[in-house]
Amino acid sequence: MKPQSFPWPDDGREARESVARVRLRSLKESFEHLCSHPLITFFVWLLIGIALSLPAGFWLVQHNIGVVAQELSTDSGFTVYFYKDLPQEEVETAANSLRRNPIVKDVDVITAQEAWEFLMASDFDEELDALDSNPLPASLTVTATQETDREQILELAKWASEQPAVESVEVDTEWMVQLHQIRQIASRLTWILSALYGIGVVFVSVAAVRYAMDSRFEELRVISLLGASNRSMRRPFVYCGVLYGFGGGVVATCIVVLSLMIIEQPLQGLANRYGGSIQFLAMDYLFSFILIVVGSILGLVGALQVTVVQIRKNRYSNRSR
Amino acid sequence: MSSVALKSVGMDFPGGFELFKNLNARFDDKAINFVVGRSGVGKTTLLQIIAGLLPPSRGKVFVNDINVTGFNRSEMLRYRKYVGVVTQNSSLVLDRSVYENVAMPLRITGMSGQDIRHRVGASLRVVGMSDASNLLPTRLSSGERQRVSIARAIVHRPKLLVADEPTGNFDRELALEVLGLFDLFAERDTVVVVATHDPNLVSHAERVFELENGTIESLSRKQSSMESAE
Repeated sequence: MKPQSFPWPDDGREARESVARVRLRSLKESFEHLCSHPLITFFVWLLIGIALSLPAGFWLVQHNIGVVAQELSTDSGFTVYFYKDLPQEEVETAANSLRRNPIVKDVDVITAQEAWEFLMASDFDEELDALDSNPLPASLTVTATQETDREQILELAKWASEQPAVESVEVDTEWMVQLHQIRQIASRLTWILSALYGIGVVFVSVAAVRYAMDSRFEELRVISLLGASNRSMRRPFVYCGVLYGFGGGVVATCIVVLSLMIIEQPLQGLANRYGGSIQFLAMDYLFSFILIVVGSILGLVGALQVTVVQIRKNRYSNRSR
Repeated sequence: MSSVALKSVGMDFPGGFELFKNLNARFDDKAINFVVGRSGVGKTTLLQIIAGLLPPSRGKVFVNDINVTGFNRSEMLRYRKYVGVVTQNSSLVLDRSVYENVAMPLRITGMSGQDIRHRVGASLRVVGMSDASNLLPTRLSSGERQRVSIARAIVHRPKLLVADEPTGNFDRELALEVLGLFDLFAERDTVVVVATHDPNLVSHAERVFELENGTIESLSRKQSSMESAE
């Protein structure tokens, strides 16, 4: 016969509810706790929501700057100006030889007459009337493909400038380099800000959850005194934290959506100026889901931090004489 | 017959302070075991060691001849399900109703909602607090709070009940009433250990232990040996 290893025989008190039911009940109680303190709950949701929406918003901005820069960089290339009164056939020949180059996406031929008509349509018509003849040469607008780097464009422009019919070449890559540099600066800045706000949001979340749970520390102390395991002590607090974080994530989603709705019109106007082909990344279901999950995780981290520290404190305070 | 026995129990605190040197005592059921001693002598710590809330630095605690100091974490959690604790200052959660406070030990064990309602109702009836079930503890007097604390300690029908100054906020009449309640438990095979610094409360008690200078001594035995010497 196995020797008795426990002071008392099991009288049925150790029969437990299923783990799922215990957790479900704990979750229900946590939800009720949030509902019974609506102001605190709203405040915590708002705090976490604002803190979370900042890095999320910056990430969206950073991503969209990349999209804009990439889209605009496809329009880079150079302009070839021919000598005045050059026969149109020679212009077409030069255009065709450029079109055969693999880095060239498009070559737009502007005849001297077309250039003159374009100029006549401008506000300088009175000054232009004084001229006897068309002073403008024919030209080509060469657009490079998206993958082309600056060096390749410069090399092709140099080759074009060396052609006997060509008077001059104007390379458009300078602004592209500037845009690229601006994009890099903006990208790095937004990463730094996103990282800083990301760190900030962890502290804000922990502080917010701590504030919300402050009134329940006594409960934690009492439960520990009654002999609850650390896990069962943590459970209602962890669920509360997750609910706070979940709500914060929803608020953050709403803030970002509202912000995007406000700036959508001017942003689209900007996009239209550059051909209207730019597709800005807006909030979608996946992004909202990620935001809510991140919020919930932050709430969980906050609650764990708070409860672990508090349980440790209780352990020491219980050791008082 | 249930019992709690301390064998050479010692307790040190950080900084080298030795609270208990060598405690040897046996607490039985059928009557309340009173532990007396001046403030700060270690009565609360002793109760925490017995309740499994604090491990001793040295020695062993035997409950029904089983060494509980050797219990691992899960065994100790199981052990605590059989222990009721009444704390010095009632330790109620003030923003939870009386019902919720009393139900706490049962929730910890994962009991079903229906059983909890039944047990809590019975416990509150025993301490005469049925009408206060839905009230917050802040609406209660200190005596009533202590009664709720006692209801919480007995709600899971403990086999070992430790109470730290349970009658500190009571007048003598109410204190005797509560002790009568503890007596009932003691008669039902529950080992009841009550710490108090009120000598009047234990003047007619059957079993009294005095905690002093890190040792414990049965006053009943001391008195009886003094009487026999006379």
